[in-house]
Amino acid sequence: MDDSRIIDLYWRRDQEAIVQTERKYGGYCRHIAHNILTDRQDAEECLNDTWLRAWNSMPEERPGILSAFLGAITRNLSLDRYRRKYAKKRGEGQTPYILDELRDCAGKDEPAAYVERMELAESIGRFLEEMNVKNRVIFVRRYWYMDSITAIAERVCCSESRIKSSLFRSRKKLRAHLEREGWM
Amino acid sequence: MKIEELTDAIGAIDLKYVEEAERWRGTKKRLLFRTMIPLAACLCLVAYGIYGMPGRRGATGAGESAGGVESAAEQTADNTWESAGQNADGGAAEAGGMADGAESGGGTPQTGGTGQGQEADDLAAGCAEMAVEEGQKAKEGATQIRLNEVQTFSSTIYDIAAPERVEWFQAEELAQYYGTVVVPERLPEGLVPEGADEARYAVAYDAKDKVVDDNNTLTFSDESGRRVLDISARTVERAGEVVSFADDGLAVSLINGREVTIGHYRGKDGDDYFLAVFEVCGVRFTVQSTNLTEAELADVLSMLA
Repeated sequence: MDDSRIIDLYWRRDQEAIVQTERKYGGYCRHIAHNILTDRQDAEECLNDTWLRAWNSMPEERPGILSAFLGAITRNLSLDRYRRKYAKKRGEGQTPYILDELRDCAGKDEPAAYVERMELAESIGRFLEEMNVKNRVIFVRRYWYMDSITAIAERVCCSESRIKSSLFRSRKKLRAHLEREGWM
Repeated sequence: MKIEELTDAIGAIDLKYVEEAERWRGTKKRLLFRTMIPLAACLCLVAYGIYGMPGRRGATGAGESAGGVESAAEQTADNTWESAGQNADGGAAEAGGMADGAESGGGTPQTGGTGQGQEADDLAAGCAEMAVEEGQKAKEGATQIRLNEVQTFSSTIYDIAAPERVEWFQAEELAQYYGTVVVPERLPEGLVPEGADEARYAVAYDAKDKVVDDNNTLTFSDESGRRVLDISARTVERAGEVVSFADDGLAVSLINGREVTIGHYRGKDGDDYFLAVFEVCGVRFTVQSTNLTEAELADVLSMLA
């Protein structure tokens, strides 16, 4: 079913919207949740929470890109669940490793000034806009989708060493960008 | 800024980037050695059966084709599948395209049998012989840069079957393996090896101890990651990821009397990209740079070529 028709179902408060959403984007959202949580049951619970949150957000929201809208909900819910579950436990799955890669970009692990999440997101958006498509896709697949290096290499048709090199350079550039814009 | 804040901010980026990352896929050409050989063989035989039989000659146009394929069939006996593909038409030509991948690296200097030491010695010996000849060229040739402005470079990934064994090298050991310098004596300002502590380079062998993949890339970058130098070396032509020119008929430069093809383009992001391709003693080099000057690239090439 077309995205606009699915959104119309949400706006009409027709529960068929959730059926259609799960049918069309269940796999996509499940992939994101599983990348972060690795545990199947946790991922399924996140998916159910995603549909509920989508249901509660529409109307009001009328997403331009339904897939990415749902993916973002799943990502946020999954990260929240991950943080609650593994706050004191390290070394399980790839998620902590991926987040650790970004540690140099974040700087010291202390809150400094108050950070507006959306302003920071816009700054990162400006950084992404300057990148070439391939490197940007690699960056987003790693740090938004939490894909493994192998999965990214397969998608982008590159060797794994090139993916690692691209991410290494992108992190360096991101740090420089955040410093220039005064975030660090 | 906490790592969680950065992670959450990344989660809040414009969804157009998320969508783009879901839809965008790289393009790949994959040449599979083992499964395509039988298919290529069948198609070549079919082409010969259709066009190559005596009695079919003399028909308009067919004589030439038949002659061409007969010649190809003879060459086929010598195991040059590539020639067979090029001479035949239609399906056989397509087989040739696939058969290219089935060469099994036939053009490589390695003969296997005793592994790394023997092959490195063979390379070094071959290099010594060529060096005398090339020394002559170097005296005459000196350096002349002819830069090609191109639209893009092409990247191809060649899949090979899982190797029987893999040998690992540190960067400083690669010159011994390849028989020629792969790490320049001096680097452009500010560039350091990436991941130097962990970097290991692989040479893969098949069950007959023949090298099937020795395509390795050494990467050097500056602190910001904006300036990058990639030096790739291989003796097996179709293995790993190979970056090449998408354009034909490019001008050729001379570096120390050696032919080098150099291309340049400026990316949409404003970055300057150079690609240089050349061969030294049977070792194929692909040197790529991001945001190095032409002079810096030329200096690197002068130490490798």
